[in-house]
Amino acid sequence: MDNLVIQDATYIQSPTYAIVDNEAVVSGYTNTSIKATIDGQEMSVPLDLANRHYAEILRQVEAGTLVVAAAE
Amino acid sequence: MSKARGLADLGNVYNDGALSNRNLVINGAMQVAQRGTSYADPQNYTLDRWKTLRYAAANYTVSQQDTGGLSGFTKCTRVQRNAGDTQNTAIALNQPVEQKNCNSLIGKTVTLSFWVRVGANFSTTPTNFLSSIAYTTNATDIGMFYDNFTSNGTSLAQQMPTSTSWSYVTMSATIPSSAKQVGVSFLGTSWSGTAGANDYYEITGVQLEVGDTATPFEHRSYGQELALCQRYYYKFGDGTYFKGNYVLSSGNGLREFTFTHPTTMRSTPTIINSGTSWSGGYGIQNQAATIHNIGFNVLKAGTGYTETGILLTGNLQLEAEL
Repeated sequence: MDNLVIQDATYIQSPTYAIVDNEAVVSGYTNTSIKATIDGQEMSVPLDLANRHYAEILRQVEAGTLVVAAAE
Repeated sequence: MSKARGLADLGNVYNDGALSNRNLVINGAMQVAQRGTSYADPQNYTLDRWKTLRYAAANYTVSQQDTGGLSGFTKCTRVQRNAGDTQNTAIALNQPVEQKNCNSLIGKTVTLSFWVRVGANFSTTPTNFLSSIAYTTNATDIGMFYDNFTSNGTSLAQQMPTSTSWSYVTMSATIPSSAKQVGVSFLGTSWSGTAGANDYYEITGVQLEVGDTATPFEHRSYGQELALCQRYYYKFGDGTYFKGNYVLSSGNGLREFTFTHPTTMRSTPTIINSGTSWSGGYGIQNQAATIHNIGFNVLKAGTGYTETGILLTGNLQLEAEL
């Protein structure tokens, strides 16, 4: 457990690609990080359990004190 | 210390298995301060690899200070209760050791050594002024909360002296074979009254090593120490000109930059963007990082430019702390 104040958490997506007619075309989007304000600073948090900020986001989501908004 | 005693200690250290790279603590001499040298109510990492927390959070300052002539050490960390503060809650300084670096400590007797002194208005007693060797049986890399790990932790504590002159302190403990990770901490609690101007403690020369004997502090070069710290945190920008090539994406002016980290980071880092932009106000977009590098885009309309570098205002910070 850490003492982080996390606000305005939103998933960030990146495109995925498929090869169609020998060209890469966007086939969809996948969540790749979370943009959030943590202790007053804007941060880009990777979806990596070894990252302490992501671990804390998951803990607060599980505790019901934080909601991560879907990507816009 | 006599030469005979020194040789005897050296033999003991050899038997314990470490003649070099003994110190598991990074930045034990408190020299590296990439985030800055003074922090108000930080509740976070301060000098590199050192984290401070106060219960109830406010009215304390952590700073890098000169030791004032302590032989072998020029810098220390000061943990200070602000003048006028009336809270008595604990303030801790801690450093968890990365799990990959703890293997040599598991199941062994270890020794923590350090230098400590307090300010003239230091307002707590030795009973409430503790150094600790902590361990956790948690199987994943985790951080510390005050003087212990955030889960499955045990903190083995010893009282510290409260002299205004530098005191050299050692303590030994046995880390059980069930432990996965080890850390150290310094904790002042039950502060009393209204804080004066010098209600603080200072720490430097921190060393954690295998064995039951404290050996002289293992000084590493500043460059070595900085590189060790950058595995967990580094910052670039702040007006620095980076000469780096970019890929110009399909005629829309989107420049794609990639920079390799100075060293491989512990885990995929969080990117902290402090108003970073290319000189001229072109903002950073689509930043992403791995343990090896960071990439980001800058949109600057037009395709006829020939820049081969980027002048960043603000900064980007990469953080992979525990």
